[in-house]
Amino acid sequence: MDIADLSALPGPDLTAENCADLWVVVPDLNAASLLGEARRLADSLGCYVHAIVPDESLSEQAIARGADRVHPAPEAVACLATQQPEFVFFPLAHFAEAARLAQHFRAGLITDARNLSVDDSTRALLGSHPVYGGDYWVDVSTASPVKIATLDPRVYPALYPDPARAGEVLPSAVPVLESRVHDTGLVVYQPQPWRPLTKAKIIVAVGNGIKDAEGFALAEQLAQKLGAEMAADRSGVDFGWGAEDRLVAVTGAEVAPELYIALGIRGDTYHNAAIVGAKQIIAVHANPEASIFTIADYGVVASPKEFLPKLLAALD
Amino acid sequence: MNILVLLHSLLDPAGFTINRRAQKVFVNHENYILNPSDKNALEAALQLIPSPVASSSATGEGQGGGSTVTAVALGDSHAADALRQARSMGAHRAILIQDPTLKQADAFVVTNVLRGVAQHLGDIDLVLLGAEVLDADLAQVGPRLATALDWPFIADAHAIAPSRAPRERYRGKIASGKIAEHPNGGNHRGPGVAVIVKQPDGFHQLTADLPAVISVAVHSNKPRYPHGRAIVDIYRAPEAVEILAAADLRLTAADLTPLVTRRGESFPPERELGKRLEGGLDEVANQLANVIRMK
Repeated sequence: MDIADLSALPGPDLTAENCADLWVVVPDLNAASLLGEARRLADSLGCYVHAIVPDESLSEQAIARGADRVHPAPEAVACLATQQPEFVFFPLAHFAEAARLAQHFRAGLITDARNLSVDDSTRALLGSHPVYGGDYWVDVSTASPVKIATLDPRVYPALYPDPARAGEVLPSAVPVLESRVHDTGLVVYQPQPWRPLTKAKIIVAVGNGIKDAEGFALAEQLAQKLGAEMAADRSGVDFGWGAEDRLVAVTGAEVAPELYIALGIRGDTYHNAAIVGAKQIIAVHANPEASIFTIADYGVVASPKEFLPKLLAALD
Repeated sequence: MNILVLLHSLLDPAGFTINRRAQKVFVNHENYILNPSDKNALEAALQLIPSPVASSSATGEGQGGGSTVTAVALGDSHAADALRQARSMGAHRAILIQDPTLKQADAFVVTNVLRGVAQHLGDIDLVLLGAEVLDADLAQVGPRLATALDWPFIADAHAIAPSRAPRERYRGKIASGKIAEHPNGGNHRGPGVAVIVKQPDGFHQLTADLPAVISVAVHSNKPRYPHGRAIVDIYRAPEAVEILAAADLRLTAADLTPLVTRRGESFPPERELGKRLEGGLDEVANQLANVIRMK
């Protein structure tokens, strides 16, 4: 997540003639599989593979896995901005650095590139980018003087390290760039929980029969005691006892918990169809004719507001 | 604080299926949705300003106490629809960049257009966009824009709050390419932003000076539902979305030439099901652990 300020560096002067070689950013050993892919492409193109490692300790490993020249530099982007690479590969996690370099070099960038190849005549980089979470891939090509790609190390197999491989380590004077983003450290942060109802083991669902805020508070107490998720049916959502993402219905969440407690839910077909998977259903409703009782394992004909305090006391 | 939010509308994934045998995408229902993390970005913007437009003012004037949220999108009717959704949720202005030369726009072109919009509007403090774009390689627009504007960039924010950033030289570069002088002179404490991001070891707080570009993590907040009245009024008002062409943004031909061209679609191979892990329990456990680590 290191974002460097590139404006301090001289502007690039890159044309198709003065760019050469394939550069790979290898921040740790996990990214070493990028070297394998780089080696494959470089062999077909007949150019060198340069690896940029954070310090000297990774140099040997980088050479063993396919690099010809290794450049130790704490900030890869600062090192690259002083060079004239033709191809640059970054690991997927460093996409922001890759994009910054791409804009600085006026280069095309392929994110999460698959099926990489280089066109012989135009030296364009051809690759595919997964879309819609990987449903399919969009094939793209980029023919700018510098071509940048981010690669997912998990997708590319690493070459077996060959200790006999030879390579050079080239120290370079890399300008130190000040980062304008400061990390103040770890914080305790509770993200708004997205707890999908479909994963809950126990669910306490309320409908309009809960009547008022008092009844709702009792339902919440029950949920807390049982460690249950709160949910609501359509009438409950309409009257404000639950948000849209808490809706249990065919149009909302279809749930299959161990235990489902329906409080004040009359039980229309949309709701009942959504809870068929529940292992055990308990229903509390004032109206004895409510259809929820036809599908509940245990039914209680009572107003939830009256019944809940007794239930809570019994559970203690 | 004046915030610019980039929106992208795309084909609803629930409306198409992939047929690997025919190597084609079959669109069953052509629905367009707002890119999910762009919605989260819009919500983050609306939470940052004191009072977004709550009701039906189609032109969004006179509210917000000096802070505005401007939504921008490139494209045609689907993008305009996304912008109207944003206006209904509370954005003050919506700008549609509609131009036939932008049909094949890649991330580089989108970045340049957005830089043009930021310069056209003049007083933008913060650019928010979604951290991931479902249907195109546009997540790189964030860092690219930060480089083009020479602003800091923070990726994948879960929460954003205004703060005073640590002492740094003000480096705003919006107006005409000159470094703008901050009213207080150099070496001051300017307005800043504190952002919570997720890193492998937990949540970290990052701070940066404004102006900045921040991408918002998907599902990091719950986008608000627009008020029914607002939806009706925004969709009825033709002036709710302002339309600009590329020429209005003073972009050069080089700015509008894509660097990445689209060649077509390809389909990854099917998942292999029913694979059995052989061997003693320890070995199976190791194999399974490797499989899990690869995920």
